[in-house]
Amino acid sequence: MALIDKLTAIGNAIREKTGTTDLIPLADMPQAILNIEGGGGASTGNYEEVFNALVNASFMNTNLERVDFYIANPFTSHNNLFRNTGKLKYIKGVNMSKSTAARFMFTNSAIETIEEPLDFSRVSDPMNAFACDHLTEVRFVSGTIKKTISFNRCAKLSAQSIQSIIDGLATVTTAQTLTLNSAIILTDEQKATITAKGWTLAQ
Amino acid sequence: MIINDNILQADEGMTLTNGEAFGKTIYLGINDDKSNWREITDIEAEELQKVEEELDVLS
Repeated sequence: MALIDKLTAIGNAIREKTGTTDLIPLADMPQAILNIEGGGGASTGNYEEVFNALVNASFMNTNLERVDFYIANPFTSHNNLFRNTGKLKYIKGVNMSKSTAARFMFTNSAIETIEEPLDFSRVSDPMNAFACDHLTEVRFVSGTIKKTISFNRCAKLSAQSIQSIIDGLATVTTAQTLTLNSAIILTDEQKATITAKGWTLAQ
Repeated sequence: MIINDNILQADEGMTLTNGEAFGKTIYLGINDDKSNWREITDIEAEELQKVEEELDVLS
């Protein structure tokens, strides 16, 4: 996503919140956002942190606790996007429909809940996207996971999340591997579904 | 390593890897073959995964 597109997205979000249609100079954006009552916007945190995160398309190393995307965020890469976000517990509205990369997307994040299904249909390397310890709730668009992926550190996944991961696996014709934490108990039917789709299950 | 049909079980203190994924128990998919998997020690497995993460930060 080009910088101008990111800035336009921020401008659109401000205009939507303020009900205006005027162009907003970059220098005026901080005050325009601060003037918005009731927050909303893209995240919970201080303005500077959110703004820098959007401009850089990366929330890596921030102290944000929650991110709600109310604006378009069709990033084409999610590599490292939420990496090392030690306080981030909740995300809503992340759009991965155009993303081709998700390496280390949530590595060492405190993420617990990812609201709304993730579309991994274009992601070519999701292997370590979910190297995080607290993930409980995550959903995938059915049949969109096409490449080797690991949830090795995710021991707290809910039963619904596990089923969504299994349903999210596409049928593949070359060997791909799904890694789940050894604490996750699968039924024989779930194991059979995974391997029948062409996936190897590692635990 | 114990092999039972399409299930591979690592020996104690060992981890199975295909060079990309790691696990103690492997349920082979219909496209996979046991020859793609080998045993390494748990320590080697930890180091390999750590190195991969560190290399990615540098790239």
